Amino acid sequence: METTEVSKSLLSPSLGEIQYDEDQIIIFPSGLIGFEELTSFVMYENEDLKPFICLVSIEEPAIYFPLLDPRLIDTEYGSDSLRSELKGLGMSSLEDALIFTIVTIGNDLAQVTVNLRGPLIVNPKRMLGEQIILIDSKYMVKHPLQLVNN
Amino acid sequence: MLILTRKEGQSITIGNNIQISVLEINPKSIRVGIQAPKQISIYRDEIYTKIQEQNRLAAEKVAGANLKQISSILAQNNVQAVKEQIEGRS
Repeated sequence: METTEVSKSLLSPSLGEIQYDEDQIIIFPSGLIGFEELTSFVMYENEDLKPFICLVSIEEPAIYFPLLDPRLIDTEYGSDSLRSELKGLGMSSLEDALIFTIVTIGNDLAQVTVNLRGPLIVNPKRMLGEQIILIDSKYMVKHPLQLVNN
Repeated sequence: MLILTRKEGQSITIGNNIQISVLEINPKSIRVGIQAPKQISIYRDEIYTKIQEQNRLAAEKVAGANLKQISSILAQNNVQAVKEQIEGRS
């Protein structure tokens, strides 16, 4: 039995043309906080950009969010506090979930911050995602990413 | 917006599974209890607004060049070093 994957592409002004298949689309039913109208995204990865991954909006390709695995900053990130959120995404355990945090990069490279307080949780089996806010957490919305420059 | 006045001990029901109760009224603040299904997120407005604003800043026209610059800095120094820096600071 053959499955035909429909290949699509979008043009991101910053990232260029991005090819993707339908099964790579991640749906955020509630969008992102403040961007509720954006529900379809693809992840864009590139050797040049590692460890960052870009979450590109299909509805508005000019909009993308740079993501970082929070475990690169804190290996303990994401334990009990996230469990109750998982039910809404159809996941029973955190092991199935992909967790990403949004990076804010302005023009000043000395002020790169990571939002550890409002992570994105993705269920890779159903390709569903949601942005949640950790309640009463030690994590910050603007966790500074210290860049060591030689 | 629906505006209701409640006294201490009184409640409000929203839909068929959300209940808000006024637990304690003090001169400068009130204590509110909320019962809702786990799937419904409840946040203090300040944090919600903060995240909303942060998302907006993150999505602001970030030239791909900046991301690449940071990526190469991280590659040179490796993220482990970055992690240690952050741990050392806190």
